Amino acid sequence: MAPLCLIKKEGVEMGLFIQQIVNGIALGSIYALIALGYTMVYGIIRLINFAHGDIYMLGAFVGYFALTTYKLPFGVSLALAMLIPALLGMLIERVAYRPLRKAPSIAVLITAIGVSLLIENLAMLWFSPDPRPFPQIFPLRPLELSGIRVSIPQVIVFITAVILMMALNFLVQKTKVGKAMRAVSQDKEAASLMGIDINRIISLTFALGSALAGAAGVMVGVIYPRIQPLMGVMPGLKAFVAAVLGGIGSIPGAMLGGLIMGLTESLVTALISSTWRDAIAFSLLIVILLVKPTGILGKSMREKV
Amino acid sequence: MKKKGLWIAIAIVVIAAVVVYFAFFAGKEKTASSKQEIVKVGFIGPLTGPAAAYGINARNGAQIAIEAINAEGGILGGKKIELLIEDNQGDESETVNIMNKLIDQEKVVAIVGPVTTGPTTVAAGIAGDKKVPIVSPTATGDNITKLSDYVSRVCFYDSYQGPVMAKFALENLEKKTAAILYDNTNDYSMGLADSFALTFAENGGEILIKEAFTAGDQDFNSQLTKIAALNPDIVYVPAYYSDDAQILLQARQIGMTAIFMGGDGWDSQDLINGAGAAAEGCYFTTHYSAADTSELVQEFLQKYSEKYNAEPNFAGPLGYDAALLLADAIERAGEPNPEKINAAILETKGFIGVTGEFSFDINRNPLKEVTIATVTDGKFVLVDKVRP
Repeated sequence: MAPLCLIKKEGVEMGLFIQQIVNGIALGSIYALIALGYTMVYGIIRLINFAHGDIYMLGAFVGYFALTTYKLPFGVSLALAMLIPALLGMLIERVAYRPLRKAPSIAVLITAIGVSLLIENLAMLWFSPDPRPFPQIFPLRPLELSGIRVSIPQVIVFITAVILMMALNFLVQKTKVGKAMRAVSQDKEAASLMGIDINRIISLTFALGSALAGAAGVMVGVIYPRIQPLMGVMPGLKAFVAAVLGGIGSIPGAMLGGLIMGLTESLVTALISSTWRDAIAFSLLIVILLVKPTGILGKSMREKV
Repeated sequence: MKKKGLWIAIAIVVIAAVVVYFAFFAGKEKTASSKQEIVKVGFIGPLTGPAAAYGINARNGAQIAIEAINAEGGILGGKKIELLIEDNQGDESETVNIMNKLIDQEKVVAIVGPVTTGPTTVAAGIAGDKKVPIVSPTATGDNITKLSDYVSRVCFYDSYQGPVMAKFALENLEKKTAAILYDNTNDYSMGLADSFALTFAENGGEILIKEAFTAGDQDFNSQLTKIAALNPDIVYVPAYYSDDAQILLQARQIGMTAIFMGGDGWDSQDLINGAGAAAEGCYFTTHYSAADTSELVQEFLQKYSEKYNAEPNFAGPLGYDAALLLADAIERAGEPNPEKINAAILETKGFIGVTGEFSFDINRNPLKEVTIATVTDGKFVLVDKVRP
């Protein structure tokens, strides 16, 4: 482990290193939640849904209004912030992408960019471009575990992310709907011949991906309490990189890719310098694509969802 | 058909040219005829767009000053000042158009503004070429007054406040170690960080670490964890309130107890709205404090709230001071001649404004007091006024 050697050389404690790993995991679990939406949509219709980062932004705003204007409890707010983006995701798919199902993929890609710009500008119009402070629902003091200090929001974000990912994994692997999703991603026509309603499954995939992005939006509000209409652009890009890194189309790949991105960012800051953070995180993508173009867990083009 | 269209187009152009010519000519004549009673002064600032809060406050402040002067009989033996207000939206190319319009067409003798550093940089060149002085209320970029002899300002410049905070930390708070967390995409932030570090180190303090971030970043945990491990007495964060609030919250979430400090970028109610309890006990340098009990400040605040039904941010009193300084310079120049007014601005000595008393240094920067404020019970409180 090269990083450990570096740390000892600089005379910094082991505890600090572990703490930076905790930071990285918290950040990474947010990237993973967003990356899942990219990878699921790509797996099923081969579309890079560039509006996905903006769905995440809308999730944050739904959570914000639920918590402040309507004073709802956190659990209800989180549920709403998943439900409303899910419906929006389905709507976007129905209105913008479904009519282009047979169109060349470049047309769909450009439409996705258009949808993204539309959402961003509508949000600036409705919510104003000024950043808003996300309400503080959890206490400011840290949790202390044998010398390692973790903030309460970090713990909550991590636990929620793990629960959501486990739920998704169960849904995809163990249920009939999940089986249908896997079938559609493998071969649309064959799936359709087996009596699967393809449109319904695609709709559902968008709903699931968008719900996870909405949850990630609220998580970000909890852990980094500031939201604004363009907040989805950079995390959206990084989550996309995470999805490609892990192998786009692969669900465990998206989770792994998200964690790698988060860890890389916080460890680069810790060991090298915060100025190098984004440069190194994105270089990682180039390196992985050169060595293994399908991404870390992307095997063949057949295994998707 | 095509030819007919062409003729119509030519006719429109000719008519437009005639209308514009007469409008311009008539405007000129009006200026000439009313020259005896009115002195025209321009105002340039962002009244719309992201920096509008500063532009509107500065304009309001300038208007209060001009109205007060006119009510007391005007300048130069009874002449009234007319303030021509223009919105540059914080945009540089718009500023060029407005500068040309105000100087060539409206024949203003001087201009209050622009409000932000970028447009002021552009305006400086035009002011120098056309020899019409501009007095910026709030452009704090270090170099703007070096660009032309016709640029001055009533606010202190960026790296003026770093040393003040460094000395305050060392001498008043008796803190010895500091960390710096700055925005490496922003000249303002880097300038403050460097000037703070230099003074702090020169006067016996120790800078343990300098960490950077990018404006708009969400996650500061990595930088803060690194800083917390070194356990500095203070953390200097010369950035804008929106990032500052994030940093404060995340620092308190991981249990940091160091004193956080910053510059005038902190001076916004949104800092307290965003950071809440995490902002308690932090210090920052700024241009003035509404909690200042001095008569000038309280009188100004009262006038401001009467007229605009709001409390100004720091751009309000600075706009007021800029207009007041300009009126004073026109009076001393003895006639509404831009070059003489500029000479008079340069000679300003012991000017007393809402934001303090000052004279200019060789580069037309005011040598003035810096206000140090803190946050107590969710409110900004005046700590001290320091002359560096």
